Amino acid sequence: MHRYRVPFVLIAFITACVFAHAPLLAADPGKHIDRPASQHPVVAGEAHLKQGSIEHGQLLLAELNCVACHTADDETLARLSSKQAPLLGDLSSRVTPQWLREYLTDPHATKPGSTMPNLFHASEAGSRDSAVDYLMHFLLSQGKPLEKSKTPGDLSLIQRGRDLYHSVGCVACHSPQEAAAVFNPQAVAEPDPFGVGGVEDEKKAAANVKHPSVPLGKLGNKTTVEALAAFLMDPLKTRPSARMPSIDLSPEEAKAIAAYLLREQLTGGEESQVAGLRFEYYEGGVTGDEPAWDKLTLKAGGSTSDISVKHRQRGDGFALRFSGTLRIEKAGKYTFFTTSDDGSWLYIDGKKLVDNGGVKPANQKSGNIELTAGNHAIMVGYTEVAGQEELSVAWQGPDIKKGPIPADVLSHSGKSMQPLAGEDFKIDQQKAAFGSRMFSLLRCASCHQLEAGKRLPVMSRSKPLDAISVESAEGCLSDNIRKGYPKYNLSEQQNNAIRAALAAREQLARKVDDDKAKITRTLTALNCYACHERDAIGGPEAGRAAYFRINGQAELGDEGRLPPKLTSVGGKLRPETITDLLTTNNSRVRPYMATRMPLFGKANAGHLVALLDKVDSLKHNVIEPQLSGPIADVGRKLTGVKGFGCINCHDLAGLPSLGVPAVDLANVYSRVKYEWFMRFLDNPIAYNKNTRMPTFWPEGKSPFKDVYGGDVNKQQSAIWNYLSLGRSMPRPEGMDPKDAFELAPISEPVVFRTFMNDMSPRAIAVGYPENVHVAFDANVVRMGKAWRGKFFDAKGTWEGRAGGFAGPAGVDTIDLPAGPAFATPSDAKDSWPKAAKTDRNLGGRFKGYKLDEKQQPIFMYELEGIRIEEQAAPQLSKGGTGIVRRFSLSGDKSTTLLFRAAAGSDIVEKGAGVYVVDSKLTLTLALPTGMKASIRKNDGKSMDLLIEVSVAGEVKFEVGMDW
Amino acid sequence: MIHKGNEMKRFVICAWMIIAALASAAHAAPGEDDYYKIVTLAVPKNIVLEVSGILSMKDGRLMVCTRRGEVYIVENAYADPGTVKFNRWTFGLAEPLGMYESDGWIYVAQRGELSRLKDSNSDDVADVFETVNDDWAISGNYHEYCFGPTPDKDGYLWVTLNKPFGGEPYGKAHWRGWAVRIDPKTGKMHPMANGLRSPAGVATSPAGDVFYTDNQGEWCNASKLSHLEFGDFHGHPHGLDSVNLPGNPIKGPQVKDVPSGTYMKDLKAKIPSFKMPAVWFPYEKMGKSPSGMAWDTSKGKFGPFDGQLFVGDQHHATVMRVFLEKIDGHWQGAAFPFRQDFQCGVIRVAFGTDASMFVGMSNRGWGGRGNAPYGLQRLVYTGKVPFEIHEMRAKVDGFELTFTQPVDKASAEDVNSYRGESYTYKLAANYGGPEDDKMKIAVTKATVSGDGKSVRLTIDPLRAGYVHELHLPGVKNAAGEGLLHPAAYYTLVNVPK
Repeated sequence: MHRYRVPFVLIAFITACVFAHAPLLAADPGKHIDRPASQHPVVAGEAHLKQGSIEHGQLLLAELNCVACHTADDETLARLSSKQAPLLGDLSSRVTPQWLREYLTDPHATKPGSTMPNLFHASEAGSRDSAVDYLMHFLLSQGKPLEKSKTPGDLSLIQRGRDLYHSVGCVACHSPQEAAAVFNPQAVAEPDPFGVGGVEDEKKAAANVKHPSVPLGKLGNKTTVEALAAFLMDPLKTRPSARMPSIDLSPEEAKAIAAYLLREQLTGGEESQVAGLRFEYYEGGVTGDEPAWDKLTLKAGGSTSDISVKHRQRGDGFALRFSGTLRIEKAGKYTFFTTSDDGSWLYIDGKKLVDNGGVKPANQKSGNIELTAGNHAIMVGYTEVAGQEELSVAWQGPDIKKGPIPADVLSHSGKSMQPLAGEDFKIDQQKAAFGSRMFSLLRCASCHQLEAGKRLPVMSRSKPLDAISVESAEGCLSDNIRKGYPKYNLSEQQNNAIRAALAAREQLARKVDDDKAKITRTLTALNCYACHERDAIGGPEAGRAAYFRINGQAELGDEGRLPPKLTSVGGKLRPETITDLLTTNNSRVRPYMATRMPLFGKANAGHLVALLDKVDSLKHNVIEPQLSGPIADVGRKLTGVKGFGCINCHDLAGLPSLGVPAVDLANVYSRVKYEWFMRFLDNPIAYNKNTRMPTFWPEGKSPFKDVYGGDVNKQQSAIWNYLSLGRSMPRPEGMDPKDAFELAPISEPVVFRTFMNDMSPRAIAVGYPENVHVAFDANVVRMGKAWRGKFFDAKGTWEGRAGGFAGPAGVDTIDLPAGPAFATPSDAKDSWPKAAKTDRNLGGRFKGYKLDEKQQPIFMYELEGIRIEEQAAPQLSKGGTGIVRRFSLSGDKSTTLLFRAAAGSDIVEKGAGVYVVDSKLTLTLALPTGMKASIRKNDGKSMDLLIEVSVAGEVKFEVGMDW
Repeated sequence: MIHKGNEMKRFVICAWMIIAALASAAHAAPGEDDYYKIVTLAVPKNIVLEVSGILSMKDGRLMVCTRRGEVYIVENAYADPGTVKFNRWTFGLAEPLGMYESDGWIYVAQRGELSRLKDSNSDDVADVFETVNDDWAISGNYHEYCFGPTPDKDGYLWVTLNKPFGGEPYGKAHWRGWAVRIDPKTGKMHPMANGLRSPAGVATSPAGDVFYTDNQGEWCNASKLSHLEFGDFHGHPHGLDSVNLPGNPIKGPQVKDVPSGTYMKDLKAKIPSFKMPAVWFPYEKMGKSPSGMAWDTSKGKFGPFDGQLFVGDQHHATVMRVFLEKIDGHWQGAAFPFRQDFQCGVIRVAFGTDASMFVGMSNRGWGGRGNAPYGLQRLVYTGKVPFEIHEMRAKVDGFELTFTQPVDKASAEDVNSYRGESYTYKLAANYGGPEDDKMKIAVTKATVSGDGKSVRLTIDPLRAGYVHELHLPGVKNAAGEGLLHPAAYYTLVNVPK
């Protein structure tokens, strides 16, 4: 019988961790260590403009949103495209009252560098304080209060956040909090002769951070980990102008960065129930029997939300213990299950419910107990001796179906991270009403909206922009700003710049028709220049460049760590690629680069797409070649190790290169313009002087005289042809599978029966050398999946006792509609038949398959006396090889069957037998005369594309699939 | 110092060599290898030959299938083992565990179906893969194997269906834990017997009876060989929900009818369809995991055991020998050790065209004796007759043993040359089971026949429903040599009247 109180060793361990991680908390864990911040409003892009210039002034007018009060004509508004101030509707759920009070009282003292003006700079303390109070009652009455944090002080989380903060791109605009050498010893220690980096030591790095950093303020007072993480996940929600863009973080990453930025809250917080369970990780003397925990060696511990083997530090000889509190909502009988390889034990309220010990393959055991509503102690122990490891816990109870225990009913006692210095604040509705008026009266409403597009009235008027006198003795630009006017704490240069811009009024009101200037303006406002250089403007300043690093050990030099230059980027990238980069970044092509391309949203950056396409156009009249299988194959040979050896450096459709992980070649066609590609190959260095890519046709001559007689243009075009197959590019020579379990169809198709996810244990995966693959499900009888790239990992089928389910190993997976492919008109009368998990033979009886002369399988099945043969064969296609499904149906008596070609929420007929499903999959039907396809709208939002197939004798049709 | 050290090392090595030489001289008595030699077929490095099926094809060539789903035609299987060649005939099957050839088709038991494969254009590569029957369920558990097929005298093909491991309650995966037979002409499946656990071997005797081997675990508390007949229940309740499926002519038992902890010998009273095994293989003593089997029909070419059954063991890396006789309508008999030291766990055994036995192995997932991960070996009779118990027959008051060589009368008639015990097993939900209700048995009288080749033993007590484990340490042949394997395990279900 083992009690599971927090052992002394764990406390000692945590203490040791704090000690060991002392550098993580920097010299003084209680304080932020921002470098000395600017006392003047920080407008990130201004560092790249001539200080005091008209352009500088125009930028400030926009970023400080002067036109919010000082109305201007449409041309001026369009030119400025001003920044929208944060939306305040749910401010109450994001900040603490005490922070808000301090900030409203004196924004520049609370957050030096803030662009928010001080409205009370000349007010008497008494009236200021009551105005602030009214505003607080108003603002905090608009939404829910900030919730108490449930995040435990977790040093490993903070450490992760610290690393992310200094690597994913935060420090391009915000202040680094530690020397670059800590995070990126390579870049600091080894100056790259080609690069921008090359900072020698920490001291110099610190000195080289010259551009003002966008301030973070007193975050420890301001908010909680949860609220900050939510903001980091979607900053555009409250700051729609994307001056703080989304950095594409996972929820876990956002939480880690938030915990790091709020790390001073570690010292605060009282012992309370925090989310998840406590886990302890042990090694030493582990057997299949339930351990005497104090005899094992505690190696790590912390909080966790899932009971699994995730926290193991090695594969064999370890133990884990999870403990905490389980909240029961409804009294009744509960059953708990553990599935483990090797042993596991589960206790509730100190009573052993599940005894699943032993060294063994994973199996499930259970136990049950009557539980009252309320809190109960839970403990799960687990040991792994050798071999495979697995642990999962499930429960079942009144109104609860068997499944994992949700994280929100688990907790344990620990210190949570709470905002420093609390203030109890009770909303007074009357004060809130006063505050509402104050919000209008003080012109807060000029800049701030509660919700996007919903402007509160502004009660006092300001002079229009063109009526402002820059010489006014009491205006915003004067030395003695009048009481009630906003004070921005402008620097002299900022002040001069605004004066210059206002003086050049006619220019301000002139329509911007210079596309280049429009691009520059946007790149400045969004501070793209913090990371990218374009036309000799911008690029990371030396001190910040030192933080940009490579993930892992790839030797790619500065090209691998610094964001690419944007000079002539519109000539290089296809418009849709630029759209993707700015708005979704679904196709991240530089996984080795730690810094991420942030997302700015269509509204803020969408206009760049057409502008870059136009301004950077190469104006080169070359015609892209038609796709040809034989020519693509020449390209494949040239790409392989016996050709130019492109794969020595470049990955290919997810397969690692033979050397460094340079950009995946399968992404080139979909991103890059043909005319740029051809020029680039001629002389890469002309386009990127830092590139490590040499020219392969020196002096315009090919080393391969036997390929097209050495014709450079034809050889390059053949490579393009091959690249145009995208992620279905067949493997070039030299890229043989390295993993013993990887199935790779190299010279002929591979037919492989296995257990597959979303399908069944009767799946038949078919891999084609064309690198497009399909899987057939002989359980329900239907074609189930198609994908590109890697074919299949047989590990689950071939390792140990096997029985593992796997999905496609590649990419671009298309799931064909679940349920049978064919049905009788009566079965499919109202809706297409659905298949339950154990349903069999719904689409007919599976009869096997035969191989044609290319060893491609033809599946055979039989429904209603109709013999159906189906072949799903590759069909070369630009952007990725597709599949054509060829059907042949025969029967002795005439019968009609329905075939479901597609299902989706949106199917659009494009004419000539072409249908587009959910804007993703294009079907091209080749039907004999008389055979008709129709779109059926079902209840709700789903649609089916149905083909009525009348069989008398033999009938054939084809369905092409491109995606 | 160093010089001295080396000298000392040399002395130690010499001393060990002398001791080793003496030791081997002392053990010069004949061993298994003198009678049955193991020949190892060289497997190329690029092939993972986890043999799961062996077929001696009608054209004389050898075919093997593997757990990875490949099928090879083995060229030069009988020649110098170094010249063997493996030509891949097909691949990608779902863990095939047996093959049978008929009418130009190769029938293969895959996890999910009984299939038949053909090379229709004679290029030595299969190109037609027809599903003969796939009526059983797979839930997706590694334990859901399908073994066979083996033909019966009516032309049906039998397969045995492993039940999934763990995953109570029972009966979720239809037909798992069943033996079924399939009509190859119509593809129709006929349920035949239920209560199987892990039926890793299924084969047809020369007389046309179908037998299977089962692996000890829950509800199969000792490994066994059993006779499969229509309607029988073999003990495991997993698949019993399938008795309620429409069209199943086998109506029972229901899961609730199967009690845990009853002696199997007494179960028939409660469950009339319960079938006692033909032979129990006592745990550890004989093996841990009986697998594939084959009858010797070589009429002496494989040695003196014509008509007897050879059964592999996946843990002990052995081949065991079984003698069967029918007593009171029930096949029963004795198991004997036969040959050990194969490369690793034996999955399949099959006789080749020259009456040598091919032994296919894989230790993946379970491990066992022998160090190789997989292999294919051939067991060849040297022509030298080992001194072995030949047959062991039950008699009303004991056993009659025949031998492969005449015995020394004095030693065989000495009751002290024998010792033994008997025990039985319960059917229970727990994994495996002890030898239960154990009792020493005494040979009270031993009479040698006139030709010296058999001995009639009177045994006290003789108990129906018990394994009678008999050791014969004192029995010698004319040359004064002891038996090569002086042990026998007779499962006495019925005592002849």
